[in-house]
Amino acid sequence: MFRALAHCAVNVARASRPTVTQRVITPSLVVCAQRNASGGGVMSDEEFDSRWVEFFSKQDIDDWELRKGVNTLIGYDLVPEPRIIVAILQACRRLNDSASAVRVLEVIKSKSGPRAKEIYPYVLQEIQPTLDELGIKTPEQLGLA
Amino acid sequence: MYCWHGGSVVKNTTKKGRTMAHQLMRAVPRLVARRAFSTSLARAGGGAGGMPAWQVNPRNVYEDRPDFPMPNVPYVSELSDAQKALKAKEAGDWKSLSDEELKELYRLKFHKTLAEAEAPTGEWKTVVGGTSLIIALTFVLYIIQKKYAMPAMPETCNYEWQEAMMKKQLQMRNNPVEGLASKWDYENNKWK
Repeated sequence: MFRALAHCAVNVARASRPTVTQRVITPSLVVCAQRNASGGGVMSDEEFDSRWVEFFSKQDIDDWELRKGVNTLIGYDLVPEPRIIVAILQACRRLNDSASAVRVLEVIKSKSGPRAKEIYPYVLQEIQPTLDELGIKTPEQLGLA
Repeated sequence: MYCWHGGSVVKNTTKKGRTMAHQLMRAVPRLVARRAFSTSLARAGGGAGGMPAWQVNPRNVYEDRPDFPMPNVPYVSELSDAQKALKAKEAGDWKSLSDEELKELYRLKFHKTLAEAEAPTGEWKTVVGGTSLIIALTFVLYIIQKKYAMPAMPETCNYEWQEAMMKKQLQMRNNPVEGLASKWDYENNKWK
């Protein structure tokens, strides 16, 4: 999971998956609990991810909600989990919006900031099945990067 | 040019104690809603949907921003027939769309990619160049006015006068401990 990368002490190496046929990228992930500046309850990372996946998984999502969701999500200090990205791409498919799908991929790269070379290929690797299934091409493949 | 809708104006004039101006003020919102008012500003139609530019919600203006990647409006909203056909094709399987079609769909919805939007513009060269030009102009103007417009400097600013002033200061032992006279060697008549 990706959280405030600058100030965490624990490095967790992710186990490589035997099913990936191409080069397996195993970034060293930095994990820490999400802190709440208002001093209220802390949401765990899993709950955060699940809520966002649930938000984008709404079957009759409309394009305002998609835009609102994406714009809000990228306002947080994190790169969204691949499963959230998958939910966003599937929402784009329901809305027949291929342009937004490409935009989302660009945004992931932008959000990765200085570590884009590690994070972006990893995210693409994780969401490749969805990209293949829906027929979405990456900005690099389209020459739009 | 104002077009009056006869009906609602007549209704308001029968109330007692109300001036014409007051009745006008009350009637205006109703008339505007029924588009009975037709002002030249509205016809100019700067904004979307024929609205004047000052009425368009600023949130609905297209802008490429990395922190707001999905603007509220698409870049191109009036589509030609070919573009509409492409949009209809988008409703089907995306694998059937070629790269060019996908690119065109992207450019319909968005103006620049995020990478293009963040790319350096070279504006700094204009700024530095323009500023340097203005400063250089300032120097030129100063030289011109010094040579032609400003009066001569007083005599007291020339070198001999300054020398004589300093000699006077040494003679009166100005700042003998830490300042000027302390640096002068009085026996040998030279600087220390």
